[in-house]
Amino acid sequence: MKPWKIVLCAILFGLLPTSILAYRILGQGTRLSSLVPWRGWDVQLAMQYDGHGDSVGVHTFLPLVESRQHTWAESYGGSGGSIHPDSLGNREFVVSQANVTGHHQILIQFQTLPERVVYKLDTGLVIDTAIPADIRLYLDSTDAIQTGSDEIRELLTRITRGSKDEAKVLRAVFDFTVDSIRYANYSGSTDALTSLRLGEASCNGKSRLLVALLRTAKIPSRLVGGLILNAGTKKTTHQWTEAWVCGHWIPMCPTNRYFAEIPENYLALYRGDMVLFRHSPNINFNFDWTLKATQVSKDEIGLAEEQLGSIWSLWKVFGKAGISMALLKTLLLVPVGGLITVIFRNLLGFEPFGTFLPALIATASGAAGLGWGLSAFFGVIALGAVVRWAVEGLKLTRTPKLAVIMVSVVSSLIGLTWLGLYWNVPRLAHVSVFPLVVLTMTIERFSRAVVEDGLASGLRRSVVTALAISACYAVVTLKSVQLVFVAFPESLLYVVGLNIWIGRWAGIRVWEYWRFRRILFVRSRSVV
Amino acid sequence: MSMNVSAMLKEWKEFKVRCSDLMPMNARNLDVIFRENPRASHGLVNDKVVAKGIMETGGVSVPKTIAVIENFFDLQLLDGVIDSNSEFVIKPANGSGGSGVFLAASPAPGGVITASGRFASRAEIQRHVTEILYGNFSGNVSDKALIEERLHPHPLFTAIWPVGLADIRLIVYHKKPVLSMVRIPTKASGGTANLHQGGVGVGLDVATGRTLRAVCKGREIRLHPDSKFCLPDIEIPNWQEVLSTGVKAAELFPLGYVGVDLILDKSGAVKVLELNARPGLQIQIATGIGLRSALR
Repeated sequence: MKPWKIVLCAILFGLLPTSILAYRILGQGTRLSSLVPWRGWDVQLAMQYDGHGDSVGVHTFLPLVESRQHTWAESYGGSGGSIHPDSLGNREFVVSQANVTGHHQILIQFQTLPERVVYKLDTGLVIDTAIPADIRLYLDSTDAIQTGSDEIRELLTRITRGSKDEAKVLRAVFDFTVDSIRYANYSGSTDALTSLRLGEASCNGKSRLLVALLRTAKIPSRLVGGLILNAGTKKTTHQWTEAWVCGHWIPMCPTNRYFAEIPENYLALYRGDMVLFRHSPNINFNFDWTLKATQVSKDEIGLAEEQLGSIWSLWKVFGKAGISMALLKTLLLVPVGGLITVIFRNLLGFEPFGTFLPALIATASGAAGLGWGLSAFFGVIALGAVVRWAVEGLKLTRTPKLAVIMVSVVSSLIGLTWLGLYWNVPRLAHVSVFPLVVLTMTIERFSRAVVEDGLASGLRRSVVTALAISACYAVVTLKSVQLVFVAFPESLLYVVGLNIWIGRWAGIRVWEYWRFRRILFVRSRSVV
Repeated sequence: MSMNVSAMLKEWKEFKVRCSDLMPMNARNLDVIFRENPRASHGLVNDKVVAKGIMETGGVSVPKTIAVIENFFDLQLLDGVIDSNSEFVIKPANGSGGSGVFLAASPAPGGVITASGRFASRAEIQRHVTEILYGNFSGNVSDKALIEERLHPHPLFTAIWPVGLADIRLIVYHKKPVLSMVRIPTKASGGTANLHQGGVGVGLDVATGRTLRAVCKGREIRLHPDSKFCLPDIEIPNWQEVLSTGVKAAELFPLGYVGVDLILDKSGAVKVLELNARPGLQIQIATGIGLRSALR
């Protein structure tokens, strides 16, 4: 290469991206951390019931919509339920059907990202007596929250020593329900008085007692029901409380000792003294929650910071065009996967099928996972090879033959999606986004390799292809790699630079040390 | 101790020398093919009909062309070819690695007997030519079918292994022959001498035409795997003519680095079968000689 070309390449693919990066990081203050993903949750609620010919009603609540918990990608398939908002801001999900027979399942899925919130309560505030009309109901007495009963009133006076300082009252009442009521894992619900008399209660009893005490002290308060987010499958739900202080609802959880604080793994589903599930009798109702931690990039939920210079903010451009973040990631990362394939070919000397097939399959496997991606890939190739072999007997010319193989590829992709739903493996269903033209060409290449160089060679190249796909997948799904390329797309210039360097490298590929071992590693025998 | 270190150093230096003698794939592409063989000239050798035309004009002997079928209209020529030739070969003009080659060995009522002893009807031959025209063997949109005389190998080669056609690969660099090997079919490779399919590569000393060593499936061997014919130290007959024919053929093309495939036929006559603008690197294994050292 001529010196001026080397200089030009160094400027374009080394100096240029470095200067842009330096300008953005040092000058504009762009930080990767503004994009570092948060730990979010993949939540799935499965409710099952059996119908016996009667009408069936099932009621539950979808996550509350509020600023501390972002919830998105909500779906509720299965039995055609609908959302009924109520005056408390709850979103009641109601399934109501007539003449139900057989087994039914309702799947509610969403992704959520609650935040931890801590309030600082100043002492010296006097309990507000001017309660707005719409808040007054939170001072009421109910069957389960016996506000103003003699026992509660007596207890309140004893533990607050008659204090009117709001923060002190809150603290004293909270501490009492935390420390003096033992936690017991009751499955049913307990009213406030019973909890007090027993001296032990579950989250429900503790919360009701706390609410009863606060209301007696003229501090509006209410129950909140929801879910503690931790990975796994469970049936346990949770209740805690909120107190109305100076116009704010302050969270308190007497069960897990959160005072004026709500942790990031609390997902609120409803407010008020409700039960999470109501349903018709005798329908063998069952439910469970399945929770999985996921990484959520902030831009995915529209929280990317403004501090990222707007012209660089690719996801904003894509967002405006209505194109998903996932597609943007794919676009930016396919060239990175391509670089991995180039390394495989030109540095290692292993030749996978297709120039960029591994990169495309790896990015398409992203949603399905590598295991499913590879199995699906080889399933489609194997089936296609069988179809191609069958078609070969018809002695078709090339283009019609490829068109027939493509039908088999499309069918197997649709079949995989169907199997994914049938086996309840949603990840498998995602492989239908595999690039079908590339797959078709791969089947042809695989079959030709088998015909021209033998089955062993075809299988060997398949293994190499699987390795290349795995390597691409490992790199392309790395959150840090994704972040760097989404935040700093100019890094693609480095990819170009690396490709140029590898493309000009005339050295011995790793595999060639083995291929030419009888020339390179001859001992004590001079080369003729 | 110091002896050991110096011995290791010496060994390392020798290893580095062998590495620099070897022509790896990347270096072949960048330093030889890109530099010596302009892209536009590849077509001249890739298309066997074009290449043969150039060689015939240039006075290089090539297998006799019986017919060229360029389109579907020409398909009518096929019957005449079958009627007036007892044996012939059909090849895709742009094929590679021996794929799409059809060998008619003797006439039969309604068709021919192929080299593998199978009957092929006229309809089957016509369909094969159609496939060639569609480009099924050449990855192109369309291709030509080249029909030429069937060549028979020199008795030396039939003595080594009687089936198929052995050929001589000669690498010509800047009009000089630099490396050479003979490719001999085996039971595993069938009629072709393709090394990927189990053919034997026998390295030659370019100057003398004597066989050096032989490899089969990446292993060095002494005996032909099927006939047990001892392969090293055989003299290839008519060697100077092989060299001059190969060089003469290469000179006709604007390519600095060519692989010339030659046939030594039954009578000892030398004919150029085809040329390759991107000859492979296996010849280094067959000869045990690094191509880079041979090009220096």
